[in-house]
Amino acid sequence: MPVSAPATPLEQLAAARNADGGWGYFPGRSSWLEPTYYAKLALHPDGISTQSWNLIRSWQLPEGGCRPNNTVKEPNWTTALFVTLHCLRQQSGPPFHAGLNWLLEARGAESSLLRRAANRLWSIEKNYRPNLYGWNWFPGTHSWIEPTVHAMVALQLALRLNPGLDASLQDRLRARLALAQEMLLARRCNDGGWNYGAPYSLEVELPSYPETTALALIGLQQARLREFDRSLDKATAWLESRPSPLAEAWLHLALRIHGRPVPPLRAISTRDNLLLALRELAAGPNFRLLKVGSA
Amino acid sequence: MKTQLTRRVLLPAAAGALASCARAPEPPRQPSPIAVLKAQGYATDLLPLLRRGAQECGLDARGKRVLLKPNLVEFDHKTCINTHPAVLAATVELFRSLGAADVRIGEGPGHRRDTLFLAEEAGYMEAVPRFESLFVDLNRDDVSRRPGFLHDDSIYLPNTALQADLIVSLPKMKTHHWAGATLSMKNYFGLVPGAVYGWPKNPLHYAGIDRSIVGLSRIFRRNFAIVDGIIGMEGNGPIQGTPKSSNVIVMGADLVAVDATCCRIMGIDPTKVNYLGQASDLGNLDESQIPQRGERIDAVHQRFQLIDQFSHLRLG
Repeated sequence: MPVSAPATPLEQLAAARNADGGWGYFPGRSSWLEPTYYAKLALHPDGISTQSWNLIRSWQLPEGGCRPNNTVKEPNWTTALFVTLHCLRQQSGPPFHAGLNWLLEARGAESSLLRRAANRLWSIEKNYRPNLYGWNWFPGTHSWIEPTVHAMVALQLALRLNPGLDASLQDRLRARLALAQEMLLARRCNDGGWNYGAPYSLEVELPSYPETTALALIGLQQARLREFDRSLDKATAWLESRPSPLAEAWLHLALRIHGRPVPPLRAISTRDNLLLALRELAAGPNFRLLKVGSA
Repeated sequence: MKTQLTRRVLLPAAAGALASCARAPEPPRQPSPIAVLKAQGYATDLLPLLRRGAQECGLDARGKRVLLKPNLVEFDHKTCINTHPAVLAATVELFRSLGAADVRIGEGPGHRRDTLFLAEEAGYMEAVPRFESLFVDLNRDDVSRRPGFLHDDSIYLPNTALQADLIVSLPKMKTHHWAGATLSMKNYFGLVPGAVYGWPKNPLHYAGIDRSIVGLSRIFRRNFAIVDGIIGMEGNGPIQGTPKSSNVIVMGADLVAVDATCCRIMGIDPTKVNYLGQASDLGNLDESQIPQRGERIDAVHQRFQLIDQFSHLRLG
């Protein structure tokens, strides 16, 4: 009996698309914006069907933020992915601007006057500068490395791919990007990598992680600093130490964006659509989509 | 030593005061039997021990859809952060032998996104046959909205957890640098979906860790707990603490009583642990209402090291 050849990861990914045009985190599960975003990047955003695009657009709320799927009613960090997709598809209409403005208004809650005063009065965390804020996962909470990086990529692409943006809007985007860049640099761990949030908690030094280090390097791709080599070397060392499949994909992507040589990705078998898509994005030619160019 | 007036001290105190003002008179409650079982180590056959504990606590799992919720946080071979795979594997067998209709394992780690890799590193795949087919990444499960979290607020929760007839909390016995102790109730933070709230689930911290622990326990009321205290963690838990051998497993259906018993074993006064104080309407905190099965607490008592900020929790 003839045995059909195993599907390539891209074929597997394409076959996992839901009837509504989106992707779930796993085959057969309902569509979410995050796996849909990575699937589209891996398969190339030019190829987004009208149905997929309409689904993604349907997740935007009137105030501009995006909810992560059909069930959730509140906007969250996935708004950055929505804006990035619009940039990559050269869509600069009202939904793009609404999303961009939502991102510009969103900020880590540590930046509030009350929080800054509390930090100063009670020394909640030393070595912590709440005036340097980025983006949160969910409104009303702290800035974290990963959502900050997604927002930075969105804003950097908005500047690069939309030269016709209003000058004052461009200034606002640049100001937020400068602040976010400063935040990332201030939150770098002593070993050159990044933790999920800050390098210290309760004055105890925290370890860095490969995923967040890779993400921070993607967010900082416009920062041309000599001291960066230490962080890139750390990412390279992690890549050589058999990290998790997710970490390997992020490290691969970050190092390629920074022009560093990388070994081929290990072959894995997974039903995780996000992982599958991210690894394809990292290993294939589409990694350039997240290369935002020089400042 | 100078006492610092910090958010850690002020906010829980204020929240506790408000909660106690708002609480309705408590109805008379049935006693909560808790089994405290000595276990020499992870290499011993844990299943007979768990069977005995289940029997002592009157556990009935026949025909139920059971979700086992281990504490899977991080893998570091130098320490003992996660529920041990031997405890998880024995628990799977326990519920199958008790006639559960479906046994699944679910977890949504607080900061690591690659849950399956974490499970593999922690030894779960090796210990539990066909682990992948049983496992649900609760951070990325489909979700539904549930009202009643922290009074007026609603919360999105994974369908796998909401549809379970019984959730079995399988925590590690650990101290915690924000909550004092992390046991069966705090373990439910892993039921909150990262895909909605992020990694970590920072809205829970903003709402107040103690309040969030209690809020989740108000939603999930069909519970059982099996606490892995064979080797726990003391000091700066839940990740950076040091291993502490207690050689004990604690089991029970009343999570408040389970956590209170674990605290007493750890040398912590449960009445001083903020979240337990706020949850006293959900279960029994008072020792007189917790019939002890198996070992007596003083036979297994350990003095878990506490960080300075929680030295006031020390029992006696």
